[in-house]
Amino acid sequence: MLALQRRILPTTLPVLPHVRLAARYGLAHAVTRGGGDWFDAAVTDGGLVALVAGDVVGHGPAAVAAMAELRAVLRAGLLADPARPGHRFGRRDAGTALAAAVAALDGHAARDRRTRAATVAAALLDPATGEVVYTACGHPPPLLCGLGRARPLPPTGGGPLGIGAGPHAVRGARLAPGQSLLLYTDGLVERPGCPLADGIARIGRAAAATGPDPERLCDAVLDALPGGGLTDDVAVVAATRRVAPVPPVTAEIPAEAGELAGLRSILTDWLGALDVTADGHTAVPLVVSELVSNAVQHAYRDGAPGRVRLHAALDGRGGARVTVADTGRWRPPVPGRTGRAGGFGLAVARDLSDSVDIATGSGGTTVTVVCPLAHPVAVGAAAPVRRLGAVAHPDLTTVERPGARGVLVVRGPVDEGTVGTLRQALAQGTAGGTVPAVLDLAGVTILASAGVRLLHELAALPAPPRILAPAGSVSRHVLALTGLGHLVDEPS
Amino acid sequence: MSRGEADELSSFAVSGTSGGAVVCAVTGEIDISNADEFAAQLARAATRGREVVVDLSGVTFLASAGIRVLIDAAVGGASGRLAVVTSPEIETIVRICGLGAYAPCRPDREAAVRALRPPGCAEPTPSTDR
Repeated sequence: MLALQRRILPTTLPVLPHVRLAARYGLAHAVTRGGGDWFDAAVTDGGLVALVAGDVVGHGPAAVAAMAELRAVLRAGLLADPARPGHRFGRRDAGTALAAAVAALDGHAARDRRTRAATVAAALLDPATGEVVYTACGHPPPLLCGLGRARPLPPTGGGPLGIGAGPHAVRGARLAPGQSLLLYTDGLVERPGCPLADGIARIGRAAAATGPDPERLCDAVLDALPGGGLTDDVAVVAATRRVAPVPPVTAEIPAEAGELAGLRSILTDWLGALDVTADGHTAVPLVVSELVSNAVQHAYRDGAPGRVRLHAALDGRGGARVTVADTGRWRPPVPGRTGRAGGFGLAVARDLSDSVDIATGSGGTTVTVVCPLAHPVAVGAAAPVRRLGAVAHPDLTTVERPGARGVLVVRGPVDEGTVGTLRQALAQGTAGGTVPAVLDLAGVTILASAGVRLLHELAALPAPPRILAPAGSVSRHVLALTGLGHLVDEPS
Repeated sequence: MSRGEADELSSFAVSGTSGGAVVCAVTGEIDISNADEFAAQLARAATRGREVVVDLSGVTFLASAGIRVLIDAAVGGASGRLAVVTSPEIETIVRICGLGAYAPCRPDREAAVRALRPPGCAEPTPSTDR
């Protein structure tokens, strides 16, 4: 199941000129069945960067399947934004696109019990301007950090997905150069017995201390987990606006074989600074070497050697756009007269690229190739992923408050493992939901998504329970975050 | 611009025989600037035995021009048979150009030497080198 989850979560992230991306997925020791947390980062049709951290209730095959489904639905909704070429896709458009994608996800999540009450934070970032729109559906809002500070963005309201808690509002923010946006699941901030606000403050302190580097940011917030480690799984994704965009590589060389090695070396240095996977490291210098070899061998065959121009730049879609131009004559490959390059040059370019475009004319030949690049992410139990110790937590207890009929006092963790106990106690105490009950959640040490889903079910009953959750308690914060704040009885 | 290696093969050494095959160890980068030299060295080595193992595990960059040399040697050379030792650095170009269809490509010398012999054919001992 972990292997399947590893396949579902992204194993690489786009390499972009204005933004650096990083992500982590971690599991607690106690969790061996695969979790329902996910992250995503991808470039939309309109060139925005979509960032997602989400959480499906439960563990095991059903949760992983539900997670995969929600991830795909949201990804499809976010990536197909209605941007048109030449049309500036502003914050308003991005907000509309994000709201539509999340509304579709909300509707989809309602169709199946397994996807109900999932929570998600999603953002669209304009990499060139730093404009951000975001929403958090029953989920901690993103953290804006960098330049020595960190703060959670204001909540957007609305509860978890699929339970009629929408529509979900969208808000805006802006990333200055060097600042980062961090989206995470609640395993990063949720601790038994500690208010969520403490956990959010803790990762804020850790985040504020890191520089403009999303990898170090992800490590810092995970390292800030207290000694006990994770109680659940956790997904983290970060985007850092580059202080300066990645410069393109340009070179103009004589069309001579002796120049090839130097050209490859320039490209290797450029790729090294971008931290790309081995595939990209191999592909770009090889493709350029083959294309320039073609120009050296063929373009100037009938005259004095001319020059070859190289331009390589990140294309903002996750790839490298590479152009090799000569001023000689294009010759289609002739069988039996292929020279040492042997006609393999274009085959190599086609194999290692997403597209090859050849423009020929009296002024020379220009070959443009787009090579996919990727930045590696480790997901699952492999090396850089943290497998942290689990925290033992006491059992859930539910007792009727002496002398107060219908008041159920709940102590301990309300999570996937204990929610059945609470459901049973409630059914008994409320005669199957026909008698209004009061739930005293002041002693709850953890209110996980399984508990939130139960409370949302109760909220939809004709006689919903009232909830006691004093300010500062674990439950109070979670209830506010998940759209259940209206059930809380204020002490008079 | 003269930062890279190229032009001359960093080294091409016939390091003796292994299981009866002539072993040529090549290091450095191979592209159109030195493919002709690579071809000439290979032809010279091939005169020393009917089976040749070209060990490219020390090659850090191999252009398709180098693959063309190997294919020509495997197909038309007088060398008899050819096997190649590859490395992760060059496996992409080896795959794209389909070198494996012309000569066995193996990750180490022992496997390359074995690939030159049909299964069941005993490996000659060093004392019976041909």
